[in-house]
Amino acid sequence: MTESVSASPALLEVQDLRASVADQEILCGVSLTVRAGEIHAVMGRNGSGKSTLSKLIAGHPSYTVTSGSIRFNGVDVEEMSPEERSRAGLFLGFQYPVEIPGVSNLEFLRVSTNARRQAQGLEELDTFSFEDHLQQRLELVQMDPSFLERSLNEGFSGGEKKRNEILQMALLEPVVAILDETDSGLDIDALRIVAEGVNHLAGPSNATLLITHYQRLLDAITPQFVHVMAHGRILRTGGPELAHELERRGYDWVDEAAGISSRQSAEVGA
Amino acid sequence: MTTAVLQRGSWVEGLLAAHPTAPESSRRQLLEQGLPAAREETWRFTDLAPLLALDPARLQPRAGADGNPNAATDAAVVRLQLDGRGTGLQPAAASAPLPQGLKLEPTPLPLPDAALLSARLHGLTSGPSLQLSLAANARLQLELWLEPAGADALLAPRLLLNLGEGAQLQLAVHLRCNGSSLALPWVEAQLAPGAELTEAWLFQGDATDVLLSGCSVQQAPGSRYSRSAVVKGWALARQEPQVVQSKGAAHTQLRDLAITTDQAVHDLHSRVRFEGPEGTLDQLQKALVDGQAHSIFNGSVQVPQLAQRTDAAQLSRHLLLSERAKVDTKPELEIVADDVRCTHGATVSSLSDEELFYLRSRGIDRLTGAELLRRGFCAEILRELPPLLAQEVA
Repeated sequence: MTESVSASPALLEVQDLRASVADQEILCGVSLTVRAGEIHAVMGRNGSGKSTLSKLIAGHPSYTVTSGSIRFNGVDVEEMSPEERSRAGLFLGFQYPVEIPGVSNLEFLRVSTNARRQAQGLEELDTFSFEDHLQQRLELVQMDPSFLERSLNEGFSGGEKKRNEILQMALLEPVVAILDETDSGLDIDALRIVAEGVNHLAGPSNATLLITHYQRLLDAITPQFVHVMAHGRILRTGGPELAHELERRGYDWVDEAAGISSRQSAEVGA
Repeated sequence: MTTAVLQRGSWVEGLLAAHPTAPESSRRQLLEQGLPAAREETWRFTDLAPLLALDPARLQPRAGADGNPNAATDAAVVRLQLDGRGTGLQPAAASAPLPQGLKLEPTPLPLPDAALLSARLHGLTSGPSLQLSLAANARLQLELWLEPAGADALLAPRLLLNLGEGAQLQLAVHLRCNGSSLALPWVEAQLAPGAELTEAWLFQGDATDVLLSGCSVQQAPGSRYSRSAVVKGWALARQEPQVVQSKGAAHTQLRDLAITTDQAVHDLHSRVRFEGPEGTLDQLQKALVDGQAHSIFNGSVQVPQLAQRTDAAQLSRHLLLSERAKVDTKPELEIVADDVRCTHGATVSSLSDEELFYLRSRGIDRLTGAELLRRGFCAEILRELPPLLAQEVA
């Protein structure tokens, strides 16, 4: 569990979270506190539970919380639907953004932006106002406006999909953004653009949780806290130096320190 | 005799009694062949009950509905609508002048192939007819608005299209019925080398209406035929487009979308035959099936020995929105030629949980998200329609 010394308010508090899917326990007591102004990174092998954690926080209906709690801005989100969580300011950047043929990217962005604005007590944007609103955010992710006319993520490259995710993040102005392996499938230039976008959007009143395998994203976005997950638990928490150590020594070292054999970890990661 | 046979026979007799002046050959044909039975393979899944529920004595041509739906569209377009009796077509208020080669008189036309039920029934009626001979390299945009005012309408429009070499015709038809009506649109088209016929149809009907639509298209080499049809509503809607590439080397594109709810039956039986080499086909059939509706697709593609190097692709996609909705889909590829590329696929699925979660994770509620997904499913076909028709679907 992370105990931040900061006096800033806790935006996301995960307490001893256990969860299962199809009767198999995949989170075995995760605790994590993210405060305003902080950037956290969660690292771990495939199958360690990182993506499950992010989906649970966003309210994916396939996962069942068996015990523990998730509090966002002081409110338990268990009874909140995914859309209510989003409108309240939780954002999940998908590892694999879904392609939806026939749904216009522009219309999708406008409907989702207005859903969030309505929850914030702001005026909804009509088509013309929205396009003005969108313009500067497009520049942030260096996205060609022609992508707005296309179907949502359909035929987008990996980098284009991730830029579209960051564009959504810029429009929704979340309180807590969880970016699930945003660096996967990105070339160096796309990674730089995405990282610049995330850094630009990070501020003292919001927080970011990065889910990643690799150090390379953390070279561009510096977290204050790094957590290492395995077996559905956070085994270790440290500062940015922990990510460097993982890069140097691999995950076995953390497993051994936590008393888990590398064979067990390999089974989990399979 | 079973009750069903008696019921079908009595319905046919009722229809004949209501049309005493119909040509004798047509009357005889309908009497001899009657209505198809469920034991016939091509009617195995199609319940004719909605047709039998119509009162044949009340089915009559009805005057066109009021209004000028085309007023806001392009001034260069020839626009026609049902006349005051419902048996002919007349220019709509904003129509461009009628071109040479376009006849609207109800001249007797040769009876279409009576193998199809729609054609057999069509032979009894004197519906609005249009004959168009488009000269070589001529171009024309034609819009038809076929909406009888009121219920109990018998609407049997017949279009005979003859496109000369390199001629181009864009045809948009909005056909709408308003209760207890029977629509029997029939199209025959001949495409000379290099001719292009682009058809867009919107069939809208009430939950008691029946649509039996047929078309017979002959394509010469180098011609292009594109048909996009959207069917929305109706108790029973059956379409039977039949296309023959007479010497191959032509291109055929078929796009169909059925939006099916309640207890409607939507049926598409298409047939494309290649009678020469190097023909191409691109076919996509989609249906959104809700309530207790039933969607049927049978796509016949015939590639005989002489049709070498045919390239045909057929895809059927159904989106099931209810546990009680039903789908029967059957690609029917008869391939004798050995040097061809013919693909087909069929999918039946419900709304994707992952797509819905993605939308919900962006603050879009479940109902709005589901509606976005439904519209997205339809968009692929709707974008093939001119805005005039696509707006009507929305």
